[in-house]
Amino acid sequence: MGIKYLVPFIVGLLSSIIDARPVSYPGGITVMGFSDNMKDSIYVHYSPTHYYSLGLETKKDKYSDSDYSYLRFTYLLDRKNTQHSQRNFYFQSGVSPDKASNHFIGFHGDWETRRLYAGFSYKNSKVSSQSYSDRFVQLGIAPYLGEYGDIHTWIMMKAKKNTLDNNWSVYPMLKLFKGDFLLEVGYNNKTRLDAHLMYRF
Amino acid sequence: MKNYLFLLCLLMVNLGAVSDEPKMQATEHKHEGHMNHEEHAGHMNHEGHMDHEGHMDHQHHSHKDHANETMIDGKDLQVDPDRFNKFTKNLSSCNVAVVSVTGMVCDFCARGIEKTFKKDKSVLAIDVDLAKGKVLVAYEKSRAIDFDEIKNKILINGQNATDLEILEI
Repeated sequence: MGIKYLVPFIVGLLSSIIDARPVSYPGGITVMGFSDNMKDSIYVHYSPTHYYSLGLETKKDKYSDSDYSYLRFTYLLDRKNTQHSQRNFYFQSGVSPDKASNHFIGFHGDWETRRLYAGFSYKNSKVSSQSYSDRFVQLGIAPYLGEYGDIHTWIMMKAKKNTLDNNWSVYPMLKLFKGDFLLEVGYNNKTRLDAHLMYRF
Repeated sequence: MKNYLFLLCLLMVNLGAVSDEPKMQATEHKHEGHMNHEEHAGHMNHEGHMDHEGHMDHQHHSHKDHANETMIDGKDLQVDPDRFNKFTKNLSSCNVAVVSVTGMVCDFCARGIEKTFKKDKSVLAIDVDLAKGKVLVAYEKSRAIDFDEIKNKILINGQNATDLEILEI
């Protein structure tokens, strides 16, 4: 594979699991990428505390065929730790430094044990006077319980809808992570590749 | 179908909300010198334990025995024996803090705990036992182990430390 194909491929993949770990540990820097039928984006955030993160997302909007960026702020509204589970509820927001009328707000929640995962996200965006919303729900199960340092695997089902597209799409996803690296990939005929990549420094 | 999925998701998240409160009533159990206790005779002849006064006559015991032992306060040390053996294999003359942690459900979120503790120069090694919900931290012998400090380090990473056991190696 030539470099001219490799770079866009990596950038495409480096475009996010934006909603998976929106806040890191204090001092943690996270690079995320996301690519699907609606957008490619790269998001880098810094977490001063485990309550919030500040970041910059650059986005290629495939629907409007435009490029723009967001200054993002994510805040952990609530977290519940128990012996065998953790539940999180986040507020997320972003505003374009070039054009303040381009912005979004939303919420993201998840609950997980070592075996089960459930998450949802709702995001309302306004770009160039056009408003739309993204939402998804995701359920997952770990086929085996890996130990610390192992490769961890999750099999998930994701249902998502963008109001510009106006239809739900439901498709399986595979999530793998080891150490500070995480990869999540899904595919269906409608949304095509849904790829998330994340690395935490 | 998608609406049901959404509702199911919300329900699962809310189930998390009404589940057990994390045990914030932390207790500290320091087992410094517990090896001298009669019940633990025979645990002290492991390499690295030979410097302990009066322990030289005991038979060799692996760390697996330590991992399974009942502490002087009657509590069982809840750590995976194999993992504990591997962790302590190359350690000597140190104190191991065995910290019980809630909310530590995935490898990815536990990474921050490791990174936070590794900033401390007196930390010789650290390991995470996801199955038992334990963090093992080996400190230099001269380093005083403060549970409040440990609790804070776990808390700033987003989890809760609920209990502490300290073992001498």
